[in-house]
Amino acid sequence: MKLIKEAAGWLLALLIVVPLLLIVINSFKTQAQADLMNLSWPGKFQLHNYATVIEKGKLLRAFRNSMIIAAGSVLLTNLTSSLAAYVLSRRRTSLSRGVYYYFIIGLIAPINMIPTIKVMQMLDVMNTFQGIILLYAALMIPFTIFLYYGFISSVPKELDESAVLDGCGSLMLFFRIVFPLLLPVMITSLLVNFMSAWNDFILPLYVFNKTAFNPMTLAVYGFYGMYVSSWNLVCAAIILTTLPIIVVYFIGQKYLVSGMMSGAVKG
Amino acid sequence: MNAKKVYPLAFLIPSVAIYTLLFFFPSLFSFYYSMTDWNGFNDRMNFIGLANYRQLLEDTSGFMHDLKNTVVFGLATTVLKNGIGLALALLLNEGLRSRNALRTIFFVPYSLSPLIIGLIFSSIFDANHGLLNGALTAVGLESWTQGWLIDTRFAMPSVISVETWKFVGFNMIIYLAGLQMIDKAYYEAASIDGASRWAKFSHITLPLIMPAITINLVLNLINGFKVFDLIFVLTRGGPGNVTEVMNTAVFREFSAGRYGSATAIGVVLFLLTTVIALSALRLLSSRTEVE
Repeated sequence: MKLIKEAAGWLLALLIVVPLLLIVINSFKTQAQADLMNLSWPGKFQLHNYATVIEKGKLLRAFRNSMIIAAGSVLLTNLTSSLAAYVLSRRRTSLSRGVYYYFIIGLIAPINMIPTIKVMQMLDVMNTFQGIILLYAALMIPFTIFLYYGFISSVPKELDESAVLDGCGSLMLFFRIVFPLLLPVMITSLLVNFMSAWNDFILPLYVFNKTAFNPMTLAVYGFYGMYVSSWNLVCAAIILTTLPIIVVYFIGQKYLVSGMMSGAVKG
Repeated sequence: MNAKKVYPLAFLIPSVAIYTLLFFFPSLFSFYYSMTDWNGFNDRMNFIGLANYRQLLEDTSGFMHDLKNTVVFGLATTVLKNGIGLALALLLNEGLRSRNALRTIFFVPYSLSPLIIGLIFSSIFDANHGLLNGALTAVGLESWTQGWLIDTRFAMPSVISVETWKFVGFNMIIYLAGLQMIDKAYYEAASIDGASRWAKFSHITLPLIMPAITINLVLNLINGFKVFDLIFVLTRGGPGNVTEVMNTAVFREFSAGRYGSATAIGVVLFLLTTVIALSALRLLSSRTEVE
């Protein structure tokens, strides 16, 4: 019985694995072979597909852009959210509860892109990295505060008290004593936010109209538009965009899953 | 210890400022802009009251159709993701030896970009060279082959299935977390009393994973209503407007330079999502308390 269940599990897993395998295999084929988009083994591995894509799709520049955007927004989000969640969680006043709910609206309500663009124009940050980083931060802060808020309540308050008695100021207390204890939740939110910024396609689509700023997603989409008949190259572009995410996923899986679960259990 | 001094409100300033400036203000302004004739051709923006909304209701641009599609997409994907996600979680919770490996595999799609998933499935669903039609032909079901994304009958089910493919693993993880918190003693006691499998499931498992059900339903509804990139890449709302949803309509209006009307659609989506998510949350959490 158990064996049947095990087999059923793996059969279902094929539904996930096969589409991914299809892309990997076809990224090594010639254009004519990849035109058929099937699972047959490539006779000779066309490694130069990758070189072609990197060069023609300007992927090095796009990789750098994605790194700047994802790293920038993740760092900004984590720093500001952990500070806020700490104060909100420690001061249980009606004001802090109100501010917490104010942030929670952002967990539910979708962003309205057009007025957002208008505000960004007013701030003169359209077509800039700092603009899109601030925008990602605005969108990630609610979830990140939610994550930190839940975790910080498990850090004993007595710690703060003894540190204050030892003459610790509030900034030093937070960065020296509390912040290091937040490491697990910090890793979770770094990973989740990094993945969502790296994978996102919508904000750059609205915010950037110069290809020089294009992150990986937009670069790959543009590449797909130009080389729609060369699926071998499109597949290679897909692999290159996804590789960093897959690496992050396998390294940080434990933290990702535990983050998801802590959110779920608290409801 | 002086809480005001130790936990200064100043720590809130950076996050409140960023969030207010780039999320709250735009959301607030959207109500005003949706009542203007703001467009890409005139420099001036005039207040025109509810004219944009009237136009949406009069259905000159097919808005009612987009609204219906959004609801259909949101509900169908929510049901599928939850049903399949729960079934997978129950399967993996049976003490399978390869549980961790399977969990890792099912969760992979959640980590991929909707753009990438869209590209992968536009290849798989391709009418001529797609893997799906190829597989159907190979097993002798050639009559079942379809133009999955270009046939008006199959486009919507196809995009729904791709969205489900992406999120099933996420739902499964949340349900697994819920299942693992259930004390085994309940099941043992029920077995002694001679309870059937179904009785155990409906009287022990379901009530105890209610928090997981709640979070999954609400998150899936929100995600479903907000869908944009997956449909944008797979069908661009087509064929015709068969898979057009509210967020693709926003982009369509935006690209056509009709900013006022695009904002109005965004406002409707904002209200729809918020109201439905909050009422689902209230409804479900009150049920949990009763039980």
